[in-house]
Order: sequence, then C-alpha cells, then structure tokens
Amino acid sequence: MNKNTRVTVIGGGIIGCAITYYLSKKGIDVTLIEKGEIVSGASGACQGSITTITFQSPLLEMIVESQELYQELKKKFDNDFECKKTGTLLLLDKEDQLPIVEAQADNLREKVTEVFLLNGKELRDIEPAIAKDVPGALYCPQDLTVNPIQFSLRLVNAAKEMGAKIYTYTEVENVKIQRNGNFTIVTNKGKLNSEYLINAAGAWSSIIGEMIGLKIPVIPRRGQLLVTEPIQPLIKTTLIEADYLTTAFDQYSMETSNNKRIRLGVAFTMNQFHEGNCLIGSSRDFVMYDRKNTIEAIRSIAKRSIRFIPKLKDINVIRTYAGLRPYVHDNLPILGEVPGIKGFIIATGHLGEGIMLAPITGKIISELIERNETSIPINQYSFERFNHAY
Amino acid sequence: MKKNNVFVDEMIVCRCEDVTVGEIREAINSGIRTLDGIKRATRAGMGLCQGLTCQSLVEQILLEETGKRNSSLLNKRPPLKPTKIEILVGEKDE
Repeated sequence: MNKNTRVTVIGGGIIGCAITYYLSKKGIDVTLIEKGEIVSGASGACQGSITTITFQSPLLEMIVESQELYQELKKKFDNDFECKKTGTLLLLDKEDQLPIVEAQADNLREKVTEVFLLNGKELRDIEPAIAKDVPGALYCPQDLTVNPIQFSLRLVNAAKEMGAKIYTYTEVENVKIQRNGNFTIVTNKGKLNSEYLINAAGAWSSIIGEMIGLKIPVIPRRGQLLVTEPIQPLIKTTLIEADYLTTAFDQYSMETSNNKRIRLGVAFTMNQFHEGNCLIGSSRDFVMYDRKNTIEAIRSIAKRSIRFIPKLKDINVIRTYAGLRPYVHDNLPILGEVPGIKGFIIATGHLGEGIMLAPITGKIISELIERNETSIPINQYSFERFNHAY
Repeated sequence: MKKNNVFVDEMIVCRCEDVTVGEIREAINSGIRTLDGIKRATRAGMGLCQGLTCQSLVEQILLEETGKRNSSLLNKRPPLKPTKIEILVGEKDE
C-alpha cells in the first residue's frame, strides 16, 4: 500500500466510488479504502430507482441534478450500467390519500418538467397489471432505473484508469490527526498519510467518527427486498405506493403504530429488470448491524405486493436480501467539511437515497476539494447542525 | 501452476445467467477474491438455482487463478427453494 496520498476516501459503496471517480477525473490524487469489497454494503443490496416522486426541497433539486449526471455518465460509459428511463408511478392505496398526493404533484411541478396525475383507467392503460381498485397514481415518466452494482464497478474502473488507488479487504483501524492537520490512517494493511479524509462509510460512518472523537449520528437501518424468478414482462415502470409520502416511517411512529405492516416499516415498491426478475420491497427496521432477513418482513412485503399486483401471487420468490442504509434522524444526509477539523469531510447519511444522490455527491465533494466551494449550496447538510461538542 | 485445460474462457460456468469462465477470470483479475464479490460483478449465482450449479466451479477457478482456497461460501438467504408469493403470504389474516 502507498504511504502517502492527497485524499483518502473511506468506504467503497456507491458514494465512495462516485467521489473517487470525480476526484480522479479532476486529476486529484485519491485513494479509496474499503474493508470488504466494492458495494458489499448497502449499495449492493438495494433497488436502483432514481426517482423524484416522493421528495421535496432541498433533496429534490439534488436528485434532479443527479438524474442529469446519470444520463451524462450513461453516454460516457456506453450504458454498461443498465440505465433506463422507466418512469415512476406513485400508487394510491385509498382515495383519502389524494389531497397529499395532489400537493406533492404541485411541489414537484416547480422542479420537474413532467408530472401527471392519473385516474384508475389512465393508470391501467400504462400498467395493466395493477389491481382494479387502485384509484389512481402520480406519474413521473422521466425517472430512471440503474444497476447500482454495475454503476459502482464502472466508476471504480474508470477511476483506476485515471490514477486512483483502490484497496479492498483493507480495514481502517484508527485515524490520527497530525500536528500539521494531516491524517494518519492506520489500516490492517499498513499506514497512509493523507491531507484530506472523506468519511463515506455509510452505516459504519459513526465508527470512523469515533476514531477522531466525533459523534456522527448515523445508525444502520435495515431494508429487506424479495427477488422473483425471471418472468415475462409484467410491469415497465417503477412502482412505489403513496404510503412513502403519507405515512411516517421514523422510529417512533413505527413503534407506536397499531398497524402491523407499519410497525414492520413495510411499503410497496417494485421494478422489473430486463432479465425478467422483479425486485419487490421493502421494509425498514433498526437492528444495528444485523443483515438477516426476517420471516415477518418477507410475509408482509409479499402480502402488500399482491394488494397492488394481484398476478404476483403465483410468481416464485427465489431470493431475499437485506441492506443496511445509513439513517440520520432528520432525514437529510451529512455532507461537507466538519468545522474545526480541517480536511475531514463527511459524505454519508443518504438513507434510502444513496443511489439517487451518488453522482451529485461525488461531484460536490470533488468541487469542495478542488476549489473549496460547491456548485449547489450544502450548508443545510453540514455536520454543524447536530451541535456536538468534540 | 499448470492451468486446468477444461476452463477455457468461452465455457459457461453459470448456466442460469450465462456467465463464462472468461468473465469470472476478469472479475478475479480486478481484485475480487470472494464468491459473493464475483457474484456481484458477474451475476454468477444470482439465477434460479442460486449458485447450486456454479458455486464449486467458481471456487475451482478462484483457486486456479489465485492459488488460494476461497475462505467464504456464497451468502445463503431464504427461501430454501423457489416459493410462490401466495405461500409466503400464508393463510392467517393479520
């Protein structure tokens, strides 16, 4: 392992890969350190939909930018990462969700060009497989789906070609801040001296923070998904249910709900890939670093899925999986240099939006290092908002 | 170490996902050393049989390319075999 580098990125998930790519594109000397393998964390266990449909400012603008960057990179990388304009349908479960969904449509129209409110008939013209009693949906046809694994591997390959050093199976054991402000990163494969340190360790970010006495309020939130056998085309858009908008899925609301499905944090989402497999999700719970699947969540996801797509009941599930998303209690990521610790930059807490925000995060962090200012303001994402003493 | 002649690049290792020896070797050459990592990079083991057919073949290629025995198996997750969603839902109304 090299002894010196200018920028060290800790974490080989999609965020770390994007940052490493954009830095090496700018000719900046960068080293990526990953304790497992590229995308062996949440990025390798998620869904890949890039949608604006449930978001508000400030994340909404960031996702719109990210969508444009994905399109740019698709051209550049020759569409190796299955980037497709599938569009998203936000499905209403009940009529009484309509006011909130209409409000969201108005909110989206300020930033997104194509937003349509569909009634039941219009909805089933687009997706005939949707249950007859689904009253309507919000439709964003410009939304994308990508393969986050292929995208991240592609980013890393491109970064390597531009001089980035990538070390997998390399675990950070300690971080020391030198008198001159540089960082000594102690790993199981040797020591590295670095001017900048970027914490992109996702669900493990708080562990890195502790090494320099920082309390980073990121905790793992487990998300489970089901994978079906390959089947004939059943749907062509990404489906999300309006519960993502209308029901709170924070820890407290989930724990105190009377509804078993809400206690499990389950809301329906689904997409189908060109191989024919469908991904069906998803649940949320807080079990620290436990990545196992649970029978309750699997049952609940399966049950919710046939409410919206009845044909699914005869389809086989071949696999389930779970990923640990980096959860921050105020639902915003943590981005930017930590005031008082020069060169220590946090880029984590993307929750369930890591894939959506990866390109824009990579670009912004690279700008921060290149010229100490960003093309999009990121003050609202600063670590400073937690008012922690360190 | 003498290379095993059976493993030519064009040979299909994962029949469910059409993954060749060449693609497995490419993943290993990029630095990947686990079955799960090779699965993520190539899709070998993501298909209907979930690695039952290809797992030991991929292990052999890994041994041939790196000289080391792979230390971890493919991560196992439910269901044990393909299961209809209707069955997963169960009968009790919750």
